[in-house]
Amino acid sequence: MITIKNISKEYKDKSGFKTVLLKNISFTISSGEINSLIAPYGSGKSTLLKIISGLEQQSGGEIINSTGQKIIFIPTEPSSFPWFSVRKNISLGLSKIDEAEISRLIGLVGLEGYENYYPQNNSYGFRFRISLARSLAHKPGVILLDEPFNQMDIQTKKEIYLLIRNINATKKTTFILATTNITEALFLSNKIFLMKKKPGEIISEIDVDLSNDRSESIIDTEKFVQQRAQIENSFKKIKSQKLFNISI
Amino acid sequence: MTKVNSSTKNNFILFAALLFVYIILFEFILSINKVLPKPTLLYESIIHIWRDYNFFFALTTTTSVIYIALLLGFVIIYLSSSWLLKIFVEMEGAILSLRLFRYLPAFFFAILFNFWFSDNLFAEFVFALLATIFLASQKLFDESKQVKEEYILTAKNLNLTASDIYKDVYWKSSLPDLIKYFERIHYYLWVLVLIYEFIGNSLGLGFIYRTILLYEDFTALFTTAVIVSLLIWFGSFVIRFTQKKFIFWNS
Repeated sequence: MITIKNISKEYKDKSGFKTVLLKNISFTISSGEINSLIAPYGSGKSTLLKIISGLEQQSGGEIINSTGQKIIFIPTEPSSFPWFSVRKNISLGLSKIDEAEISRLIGLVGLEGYENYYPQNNSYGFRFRISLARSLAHKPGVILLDEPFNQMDIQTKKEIYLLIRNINATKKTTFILATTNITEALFLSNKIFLMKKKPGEIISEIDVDLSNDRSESIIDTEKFVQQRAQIENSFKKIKSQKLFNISI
Repeated sequence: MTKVNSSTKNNFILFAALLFVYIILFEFILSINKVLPKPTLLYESIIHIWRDYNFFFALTTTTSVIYIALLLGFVIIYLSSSWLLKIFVEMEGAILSLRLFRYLPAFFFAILFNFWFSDNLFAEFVFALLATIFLASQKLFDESKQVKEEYILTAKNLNLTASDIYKDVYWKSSLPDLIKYFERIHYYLWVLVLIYEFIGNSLGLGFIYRTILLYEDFTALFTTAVIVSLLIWFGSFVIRFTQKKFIFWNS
């Protein structure tokens, strides 16, 4: 379980003006779940994920990682290093390389046949698969995904959604997804946190009431449509919050 | 591929056309002039400069200094890359303030080295080596600031050591543009070494240029220029070939 307690983040811009990016963010992530943070652009989602992963320092508050599990952050631009082969990319940073495990992960993310390929100018989907396999090679408890689907085509998105659901179900890996897309958050998650911007604050926590066995057809079900409407309404309640950059 | 072939073909046609115009114009129409030498004189001068100017020794001296300095400069930059990049990343402000020195003309350093170590081949080599290291370090510094943030975040998140991050991320990411820049350093080095030798007045092709000027040997001036330009072209070709062969990624 990861507890995010009163996290705040302030910074000074070039003119010395202090801006509060995140204010008193508190929520709890249960192990083995997929949780989503839905928020408009510029609300500090990425910063929050970087703070949770320890890549950025918060101005206040604390992160309590009670299980001590490793937290891996996958940035928006999935980073596959073009000077390393796919296999080397996946085993990067491992102190002891289990070649059989690397091969198994390559198969899991659908990259068999590309082991010795150098990922140059490949699609977001391809690079995301490498990032995901690399993250899994480190046996993390939590994987943080920072808007990973923005640049993917619809077919790749669908494949990756199912892949994440599958990894979550089989490996019990916890995922935290930062997104602006309500549909993808709802499809993937067990719980959704709604966040507003200026300053970034959690305004609502919604338990997703959908079966764990999710397929593409779930999007058209009445339950799904109702939950999506509920989330949209939650956003509309905040008058000051502009919704134009939230995709439905 | 077709585009490259077409470009090479066009360049060849242009070169052949210019050569044809040059031969016709300066061999038959303007055989006595002060603009360009007669083609037959230029041809005869190729043999003449090897004999009269001790051209082989000068050519060997200059090319050895340039290419050994270039190669050794790269090896030094490579071996010290982790350490250099650490300084560049962690002391960016101090490095930026040091850039003031780049406004000092290279000509000044050529005179200074000649003043300190006159008539010394080793000093010429050290001058070329320092120039290579300085120019390459400057480029590496610029490139270290261009490394994609997600590469650094990922490497840090995977708990790579600082040394591994500099070696596997910063260095590798900077390498394509650094090697590309070596083509330019190669050209600068030719100019710098020729200036150095011209001032030093004792060694290499720069010294030959000075002698040519002294004897007002118009034809030898052009012949030397043609040979030097062919060497620069070949050096650039080797650097480009090396880059294509070994550095297959973009930064």
